[in-house]
Amino acid sequence: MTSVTAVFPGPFGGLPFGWLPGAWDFGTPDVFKGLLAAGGNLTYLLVADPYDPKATGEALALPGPFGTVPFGWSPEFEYLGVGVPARLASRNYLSKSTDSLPNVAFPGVLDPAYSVTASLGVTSSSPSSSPLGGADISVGDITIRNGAGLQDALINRSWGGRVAEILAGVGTWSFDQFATVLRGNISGLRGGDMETNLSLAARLDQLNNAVTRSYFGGTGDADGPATLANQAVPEVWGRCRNVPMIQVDAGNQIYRVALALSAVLLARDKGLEVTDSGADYADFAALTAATVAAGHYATCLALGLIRFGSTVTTPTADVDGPSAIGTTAPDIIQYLAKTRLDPNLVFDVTDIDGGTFNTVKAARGWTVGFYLDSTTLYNGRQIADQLMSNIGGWIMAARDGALQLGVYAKPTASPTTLTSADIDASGPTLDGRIRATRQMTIGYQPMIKTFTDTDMSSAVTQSDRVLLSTQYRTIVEEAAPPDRDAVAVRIDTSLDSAADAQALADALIDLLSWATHRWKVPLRGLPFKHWLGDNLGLKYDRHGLENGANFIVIGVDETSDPSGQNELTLLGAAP
Amino acid sequence: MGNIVLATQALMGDASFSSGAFAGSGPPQNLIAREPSDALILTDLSNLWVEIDLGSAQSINLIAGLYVSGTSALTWRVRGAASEADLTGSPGYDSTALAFGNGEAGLPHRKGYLHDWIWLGASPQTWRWWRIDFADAANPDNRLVVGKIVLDSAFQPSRNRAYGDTIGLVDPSVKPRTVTGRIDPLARPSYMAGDFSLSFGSEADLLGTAFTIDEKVGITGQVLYLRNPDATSRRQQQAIYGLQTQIGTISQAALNIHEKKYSLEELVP
Repeated sequence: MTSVTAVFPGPFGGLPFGWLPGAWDFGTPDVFKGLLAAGGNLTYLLVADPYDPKATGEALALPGPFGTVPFGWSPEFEYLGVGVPARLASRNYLSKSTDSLPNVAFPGVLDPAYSVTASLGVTSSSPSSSPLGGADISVGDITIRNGAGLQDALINRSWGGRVAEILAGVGTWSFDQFATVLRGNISGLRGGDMETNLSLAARLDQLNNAVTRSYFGGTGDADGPATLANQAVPEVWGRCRNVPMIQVDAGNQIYRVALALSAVLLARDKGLEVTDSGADYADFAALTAATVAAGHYATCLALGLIRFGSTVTTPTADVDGPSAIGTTAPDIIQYLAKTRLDPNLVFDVTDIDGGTFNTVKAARGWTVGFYLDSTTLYNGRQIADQLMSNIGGWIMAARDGALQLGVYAKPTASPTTLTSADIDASGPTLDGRIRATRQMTIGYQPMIKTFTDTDMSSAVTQSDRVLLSTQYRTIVEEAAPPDRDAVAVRIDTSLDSAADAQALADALIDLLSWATHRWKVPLRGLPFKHWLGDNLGLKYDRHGLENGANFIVIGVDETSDPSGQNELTLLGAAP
Repeated sequence: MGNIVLATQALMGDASFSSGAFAGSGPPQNLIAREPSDALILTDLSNLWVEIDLGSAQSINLIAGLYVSGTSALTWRVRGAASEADLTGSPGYDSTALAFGNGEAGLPHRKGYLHDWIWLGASPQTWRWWRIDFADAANPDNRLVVGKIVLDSAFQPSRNRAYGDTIGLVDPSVKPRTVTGRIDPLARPSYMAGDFSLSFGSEADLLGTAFTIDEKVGITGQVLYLRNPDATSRRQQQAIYGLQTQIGTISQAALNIHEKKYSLEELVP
């Protein structure tokens, strides 16, 4: 029984509002704090439910009509193929009789239970001279020691794509106190007489699949003529400029810009603006029946259609995608992950770390866009990486497999500082020095379709000619680093506004206008504590770090193997 | 002090088991699995019993309960009979209720689980059916874990081990240091290890019984080593259930004197 010592709050105004004496705080305990206190004395559990196609399960059938069967009769039927629990541990563990999973023995056969490598700045979306770029994560094999053959049945299970969870805790804890330190999808199985190895893929890989599309059926109206059958309907997510369109009704001059839209900001023909009639119609029939004056256009936003009042040659438009998708990178990525993958692959709301999405949206909720044309096969991960690079950020999977976002920014002072007492006796190593940036160019507001001079009408103004024939507008931010080998960096984005591009340039030049160092710091006793993007102080009595410096965590190497080494890679300004 | 005892689970290899209510992951067949963590988990504290049918009457001189998660109030009662009905109706052997573990505390490296045994020595009991009842009504875990039960016609050499035997704990933990010298211990479970030598053995003991045990268990089959089967205190420290680290060969030290070394490592729950 917990004993409570009464602690009375201080005088009104003397303590922060909402302050709660520790003795009255019965909130959820910080499991990672417990794990850290346990040092290396941890037990890891594997919880998975591989599918056994030969096992039979039982389910209740629908009850018979009232009155035809005795009250309480519950018909059951058997079915073939069920998920079979695999419960293994790094040390023998027996759950408590009061646990949600009572009296389950976890044989201690995992060695190692897991290892994970996560890093930032690894995808090709960043210029080679810049440390920016997307994130990547790879998970090492889970090794099941099986010399005695007690786990032989595991290889006859169907593991592919099943979720596996690694939990960490102390052997005397109840099962419910264990914390998830890694969650992923089983991607492979191999092994021999001595061991079986489960390959684990981070759940970020789930995003690395084709985006589902809608296709023209060729049945006429918005579905397009037969010549368009089986072509993907173009889509606009967010805001896109000078988007081409596909003619679906030549007689009525109706074009399909995208699957659906929320606004047409501007329409052009051969670069020359067409006047907006201001009318929007609910469906194809209403749009067809409408009268559109010559030189004007009307819309059916619900179906992404534009009807011109005169014959057009090369129509384009500045448009906003459906408002349900949103116009910021976090919103679009969330829409993509939740709804635009194969139904078996979509992310549930619990698979998304909403906190990081909200934080990024609050900091860089800038309008961006992504255009999906008719012919390209799009990959969810590539789209998400590109959208995040547009705002100087990354997408990643958290330890529990949930998607999370982060942005690059100059590291700020952290309440946590690594010192010599935390660093393995082998000491930190300088992994690289990255040249300072003297000029940061941000390309923004891209034209989806760029015109050559001859594509455009002779009546197009000179300023519009420049606009439409150049893919990006640019913002240039200069710095004056002392380094003689400082570089100029250009990052092209789909940001729509100059102000947002300027804000991005400011943030990145703030981070990179000094040469940066990348340190690899081997740790003792601090697994689980840090993850990509964390700000962290480093104080060490060599290498100019005597007074401490601020860093960002850009790499995490972690293993449950006691003979292995946990290591962080840190990025920060050279002293 | 009795001569050492070396037992195996060979007699129980073909036995049938039944018990009081048990957890799905702790059936009674686990009693002869090698690992102590593969245990019988009895979930009804008012029905803590296990019955063993050896298939035919066997001479038993050692009954051991190992890795039992009992409290200091735990008692056990062992009965042997010619039929299952006689086990409770008219047992041929009845130990009556005995305190389990001699009131000793379980060793931490065994998660506090207790060992105990009944050594019948020169007065073995020959029965086909055996029943062990435990009583531990106030067990706070609301269950009783019984790691292993050994029923055997155990080997007790006619001459005891030589002086100079060793028994104790091996701790495989590692202690890397940080830059400042602070130790960051990575604790691993300890286990017991023991070495002893039968230096004055007879041909019958060593080329007979000891050789046969080696053939049966090798270095992967489990054995139970009791340093002093008659011990009335420190029983927990004088029993190793584990594997032979290596098989010692038998040498003839002198006329009618055979010698063999044993090296054992414990299995822990």
